[in-house]
Amino acid sequence: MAKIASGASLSDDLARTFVGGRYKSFVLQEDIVVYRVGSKDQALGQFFSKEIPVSEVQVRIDKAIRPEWPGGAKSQIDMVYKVRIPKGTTVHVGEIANQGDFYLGGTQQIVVEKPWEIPGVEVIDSWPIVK
Amino acid sequence: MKNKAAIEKLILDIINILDSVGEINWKNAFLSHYNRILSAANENDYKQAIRDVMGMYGGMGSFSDVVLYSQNRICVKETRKLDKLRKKLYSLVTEVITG
Repeated sequence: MAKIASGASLSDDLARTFVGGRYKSFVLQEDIVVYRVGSKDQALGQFFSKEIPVSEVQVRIDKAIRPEWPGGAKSQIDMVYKVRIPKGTTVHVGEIANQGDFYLGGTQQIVVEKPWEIPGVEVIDSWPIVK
Repeated sequence: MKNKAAIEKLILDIINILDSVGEINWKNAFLSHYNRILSAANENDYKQAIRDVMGMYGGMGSFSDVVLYSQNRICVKETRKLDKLRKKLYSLVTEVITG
């Protein structure tokens, strides 16, 4: 259960990751479990989903994750991370914006700003993603 | 070329933070952007380089998603600094693109 967060808004760099910049903000009334994908070396980030990632191809399409970004940085996807977000945290929920080509997005995204500053954010499980 | 010196300085600061924790992947991308901006011969080249900097911002897996780790632990101080610079850079490149 979550309570609508009045006055909570994201900066433009994060808001534009939602379709049309539209999202809803909530304050969690209880802990939630969310998922994300990443490299072996980086478990946390600011982007999550309630959906369990199935395979690298699926998440690249559904979560609009380009394999390479301008300048040549690679987004390595090795692992699925299961993360607990504690009650009291403000989360921002909406549909993921398209990143061009077949990195379509359109599925659910949960943004948690600066999770490294939130006590109780914890990676509770991880496993290699299906390639 | 609007904000050029400020953007170059910010990118160098970002490179230094990334380098301090051994984050080579994004460091090399920023070095590439820095060199393009530095050598931009005209407004068109400059704006294209700036658009590419903007193109690194996105959702999961993008520059916006980077949290700095070293030996499986979050580098909180460095990630905090990076996040501030990341927001400032976004603001400056937005001014270039929209202005």
